[in-house]
Amino acid sequence: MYGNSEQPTPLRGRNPLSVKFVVAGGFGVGKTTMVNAVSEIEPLRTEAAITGASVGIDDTSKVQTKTTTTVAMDFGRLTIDDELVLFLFGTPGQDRFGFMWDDITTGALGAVVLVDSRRLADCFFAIDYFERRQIPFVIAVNRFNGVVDHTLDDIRSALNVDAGVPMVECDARQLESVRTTLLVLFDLIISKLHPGEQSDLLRQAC
Amino acid sequence: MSASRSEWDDGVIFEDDDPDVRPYLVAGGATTSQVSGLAIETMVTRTDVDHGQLRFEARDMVDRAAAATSIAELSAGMNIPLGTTLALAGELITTGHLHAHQTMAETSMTDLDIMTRIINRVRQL
Repeated sequence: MYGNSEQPTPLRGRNPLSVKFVVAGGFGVGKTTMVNAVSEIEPLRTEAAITGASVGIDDTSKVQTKTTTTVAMDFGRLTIDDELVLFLFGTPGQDRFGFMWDDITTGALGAVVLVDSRRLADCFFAIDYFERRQIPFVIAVNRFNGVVDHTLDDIRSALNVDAGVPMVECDARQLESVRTTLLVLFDLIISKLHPGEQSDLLRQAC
Repeated sequence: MSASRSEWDDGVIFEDDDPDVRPYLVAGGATTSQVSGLAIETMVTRTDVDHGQLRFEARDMVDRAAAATSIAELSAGMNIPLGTTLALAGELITTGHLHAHQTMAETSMTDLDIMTRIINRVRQL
């Protein structure tokens, strides 16, 4: 219904609702690839300039003309049904763009932290952030060249994450892999809504 | 890039002849609209309010919102940054040209039913 641009009568009321998830991780780890796997549209790219809390109202135009401080991020869209649309946002790849994270993550139901096992430190910022904000997240270790060169247990120790944080291997280029990662995240969210309930998928990942 | 950006910033946001509420005032700095609680995933749809007199980006945004479209999609499609998109959408909601849909975060209805619908859809990918 809302996918039809010829529809003359606007939708009223609260539907369709939008629901947001986030994929974070270091530069080049496969965030956009994951967004692409899920999205029904070509992943879109949007930019944010440094505005908001850090810059006063009067300064905004000056800042924008003086500098090129914009950050790109990619996102995709998946229509769940007539009343619900899912958005998946990729965070900017470098933690120096952390100032954008509040806008991206506020209201997110959950997050995937994509990890390149060769560059673990790249995901520290994301893990700290989601832990602090108490946003449910899963750690997805990207299998570059199809190989994970450390065991998941090794990586869990190195990252020093709680045993309750699910960890999966994930090749963002493989749809099945992306799907499994997301399903583990969804199961995690459900288990937080209903403590005590844990799916087999989630149990395996913890 | 930055030249064209300041061009539309000036053209759309600051040269509006008779705005009821300045969008940057409404938005308290333009990254988040305090009035309408807009988020980057908030979807908007145009209303029946005549938008024939709107110009430039305002007109474009309303045209693009014939079907429910998120702030992020508008930002990407119109090639304007998120903060400005939020501010402009906030203004168009204030003037009645756009209607904002709720995000799930606003409804406090994160429940099993919704998660189940999401899971069923993702399984079909």
